Amino acid sequence: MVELSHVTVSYGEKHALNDISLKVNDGEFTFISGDNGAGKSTLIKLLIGDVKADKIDGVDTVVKVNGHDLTTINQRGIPELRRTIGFIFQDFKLIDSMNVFDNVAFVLRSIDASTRYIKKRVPQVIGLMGLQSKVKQYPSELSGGEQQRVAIARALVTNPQLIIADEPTASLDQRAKIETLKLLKEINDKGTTVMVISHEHELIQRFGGRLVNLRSGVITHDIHI
Amino acid sequence: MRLSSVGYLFRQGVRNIWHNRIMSVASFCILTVSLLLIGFTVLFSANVNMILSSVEDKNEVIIYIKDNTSNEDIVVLGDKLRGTANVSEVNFYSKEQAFADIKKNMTDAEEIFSYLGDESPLPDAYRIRIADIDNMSATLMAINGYENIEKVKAPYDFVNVLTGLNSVITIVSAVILAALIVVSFVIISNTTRASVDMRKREITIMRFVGATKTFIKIPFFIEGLVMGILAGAAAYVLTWLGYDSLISILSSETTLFAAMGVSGFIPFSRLALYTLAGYVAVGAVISSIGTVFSTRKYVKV
Repeated sequence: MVELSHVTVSYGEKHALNDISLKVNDGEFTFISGDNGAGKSTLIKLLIGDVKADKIDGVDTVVKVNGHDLTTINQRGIPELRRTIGFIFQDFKLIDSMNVFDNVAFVLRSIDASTRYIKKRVPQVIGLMGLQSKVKQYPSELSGGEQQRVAIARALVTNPQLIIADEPTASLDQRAKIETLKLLKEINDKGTTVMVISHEHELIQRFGGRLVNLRSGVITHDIHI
Repeated sequence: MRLSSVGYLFRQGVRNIWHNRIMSVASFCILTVSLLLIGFTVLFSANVNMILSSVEDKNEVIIYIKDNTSNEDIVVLGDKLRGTANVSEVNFYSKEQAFADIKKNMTDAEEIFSYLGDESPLPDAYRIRIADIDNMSATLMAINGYENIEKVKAPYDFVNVLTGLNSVITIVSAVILAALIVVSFVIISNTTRASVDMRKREITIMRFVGATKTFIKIPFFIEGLVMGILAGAAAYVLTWLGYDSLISILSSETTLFAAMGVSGFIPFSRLALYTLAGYVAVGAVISSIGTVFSTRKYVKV
């Protein structure tokens, strides 16, 4: 669950987020949209503990993500928080020198998971994404849609409570865009909270759900479509 | 941390070295040169100290007697020497004995000795021992005032030269070493920076999925550690070859060194283990410290 209340994040004099409040319940599917500079990236950074909310006298700021209070979290707590979040990057960020299996396993290796667990869990997630036949292939040998599925598998492999997808369809063709969002919906249907950052209004309209729109650091709409 | 993770991080560190081989070779070379300089300075000092202590153990001063000094005056001088404070032992060393000894030591110069005939060209002498080396200067000053003395030869002239040389070499080496260590840190820092750039995508993913700072930085530390150990091993092999060659050249000049009171040099086999341990430890420490500082600077977690 994500709970933000009276959150302001400033870079110098500029408010990237300005007194926003937002609650995303467990199991919800939410689109976050907004133009460049609206505050979407800052919101992501806030949720993963990369930036902190401003401390303002007299304002009771709340930043809670998956049970972690980010107003009081220390440096040691941040890796723990991030292990509850699966992140999908806009440009996939697959590692070119690793095959599909190793790209997915890399996440588990990075959090000190056992080899036995890696060998059990990675094929499961790769299977869920329908990539069994591509296990030994390298990113350069995959289509854009397949690369995105590897990226989703990588986000899923830690069994996160929340998935944040940062413009996951931006570099895909129309068919792959739909396929990707369908996959995210399926993941959401199994109980994982999903937040998709996107400004592709046509796609958002097609899939529906909750839409939170940001402009100049302020939430302008929070609607169900 | 799991054992499997330790193995994984170690492989990542070694992989960094290979993927970043040009900078790695540069780091390796500069580290090896720095270690060689440290090693040879230490080995030189060890030999100098051994020579100094062997000369001190002998603790012998030779008092050459003027030609044409009568036997009675030689005896008088001997008595005076025995009565001198801080002189613990006095032995007469005849010119004939000195000539016989030198012939025995310089077997390859028989032809030269044949021209000299049987008459010794060397002076008679007294060999004396000093009780307290710290007061040697005062003792020798008193002896220099005695009659019929041609020259007083204390091995400490050679010792002083050797000590001076040792100090100069130590100071010069320290200055060069300080510069080399700075250069090493700069090159190691650039190597780490290149490794960090190379692994930028991996580091980003690791940060986002909740890898700890330590977990992200360990491969870079291992990269530095392995580099330091390899440089230490290379410096060891080079020192072994260089030192052994040098000692075999110097040892062929036995007469020259015997004349200076040097009985021999420390064989490498006696120093091998210490040298290897020292090189590997110093290499690993310099390289690891360099890497830790650089990761602190370049890896933002």
